[in-house]
Amino acid sequence: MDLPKLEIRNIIHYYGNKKILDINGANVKEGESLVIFGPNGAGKSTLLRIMSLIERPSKGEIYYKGEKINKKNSLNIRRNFVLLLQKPVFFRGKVIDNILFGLRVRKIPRREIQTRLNKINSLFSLKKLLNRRVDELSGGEEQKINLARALILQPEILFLDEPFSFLDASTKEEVIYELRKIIKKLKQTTVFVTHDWEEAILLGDRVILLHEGKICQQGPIEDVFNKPTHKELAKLVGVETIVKGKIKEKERELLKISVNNNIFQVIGEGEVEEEVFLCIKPEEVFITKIRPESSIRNWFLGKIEEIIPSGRVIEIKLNCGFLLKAFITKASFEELNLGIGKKAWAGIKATSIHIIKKGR
Amino acid sequence: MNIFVEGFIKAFKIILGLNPEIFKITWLTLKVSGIATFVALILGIPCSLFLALRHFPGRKILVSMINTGMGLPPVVVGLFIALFFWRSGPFGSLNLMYTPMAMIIAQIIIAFPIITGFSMSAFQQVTPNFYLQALALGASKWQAIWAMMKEARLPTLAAIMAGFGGIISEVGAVLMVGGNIKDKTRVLTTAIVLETRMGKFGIAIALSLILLALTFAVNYFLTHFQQRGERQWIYRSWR
Repeated sequence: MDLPKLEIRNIIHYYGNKKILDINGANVKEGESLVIFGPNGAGKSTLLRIMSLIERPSKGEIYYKGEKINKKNSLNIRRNFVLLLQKPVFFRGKVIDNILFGLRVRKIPRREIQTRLNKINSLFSLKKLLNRRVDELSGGEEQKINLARALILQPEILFLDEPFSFLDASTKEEVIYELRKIIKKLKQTTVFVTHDWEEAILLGDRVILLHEGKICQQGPIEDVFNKPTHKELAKLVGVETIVKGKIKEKERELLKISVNNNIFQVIGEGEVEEEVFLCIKPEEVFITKIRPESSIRNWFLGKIEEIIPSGRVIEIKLNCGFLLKAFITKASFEELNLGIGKKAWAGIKATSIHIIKKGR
Repeated sequence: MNIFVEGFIKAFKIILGLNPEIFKITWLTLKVSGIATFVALILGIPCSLFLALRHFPGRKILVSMINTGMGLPPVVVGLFIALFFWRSGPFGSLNLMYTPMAMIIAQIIIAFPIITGFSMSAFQQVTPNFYLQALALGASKWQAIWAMMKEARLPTLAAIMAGFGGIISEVGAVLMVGGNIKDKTRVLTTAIVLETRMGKFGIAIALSLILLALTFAVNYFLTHFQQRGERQWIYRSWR
């Protein structure tokens, strides 16, 4: 089996008396793009700083290609990594000084610096920007320079701490696609922190879900995002409807769950009389005027309480005895002649409902 | 009015005459205040970095002490140094009283809090993420601190100017611990006091002009480094 590129074991980290992280183990494999995902205050950025060897954990071990990190080797190994901060800070002066900062502190020979500069120049088309002062850059240019000054270092692992959070929507999209292209082209090992599940899906191969300083789930991104284990995480991965229910019947994998006098049929695990949370993503809900004959097991009649246009789709809030959110295209909305106060049927497949055990 | 005109004429004659005694006094002034500023800088910069970057119990008290020290009356410093170096004082055996060394020590004590206080706020003005950004790009701890010092060089040089300006123009402490002894501890400020007292306004004005020129020259030199490559951004506004 291939040795992980970076591995952390039994990491415990305190700020004062407060325990921030308690992690048994996690690793980063060669060429993969790992996402550290979780709500605000989960300890994501702290974990990233620890993994990138900028912060020393209170307890625990870190291994790089099997070599244990200690005070002596930490600087040399850290120089194989680059961390991009949430909000980049630029050093006073010209763009070129910022781009060459990392190479200069590593004392890279001049000839090598020139070769790398030429390479990065062609990758990012920086020529016009190099002699500009950093305070003359636009937001998009700042991100470009920030990425360029990281990639010129040819890092073994690139760490990114919510790199898009300060960008406007269009610049963000542009930068994400640019980064995705570069990561794939260079087969760059990447670890990045985000609380935006769309970003995570676009850029990540594997995900670590962090909650209150602990890893509560990890695995391939689609698997983890479809089956979150905690209510807070479910909200972060696009679940808009979370309702509490009680398992009433169980036939093999099919559970019948009561929610405010409605019965849901769900494929999942649980015991009779157990209380659970049902998680439903709005894109998994079908809306019709008349209940059709279909294989969909769950149909609920509800009254439309709110209509919110959101980009290409319309978000509908339906009161079925519980509040259900659904997405519908503009065309379907008009075709079905929906409106506030009107009634509609909502259908949800038994396999599209995810169960979280109560107390999580 | 005559007293001014005569004084200035005499002053220019003295300066142009390159009086060796005045040269000696000027040189000692520059030496004492230069060394004191340099030592205060060597001690003050690490202290200011430590106070700016670290949070520890008792930090607020230390910062308050530094801030109080920035307004320390030189005569009080002079008094305590004199008590320490007096023949019967705890360091009397060192025989430092009425020597340039005692003057340097007094001036270090005056300049240290000024340089430390100003540089500390200079480092604090650099964004907290600056240090992290330098580390994130592969800088060692010391390289990151150096980058931070470079970033804060404008206000840090202002701190040096304030420190130097504070001690070169100070008279109380150097008079008390130096004694204004001719050819030994007489500096520009103490000489000005003496000459004015004796009614020799010409020499007093000459010494004042030299002191002003010296302060200006040193500050001009530091300003040159401070403002190198800096550009002002003033936006055109309506009013």
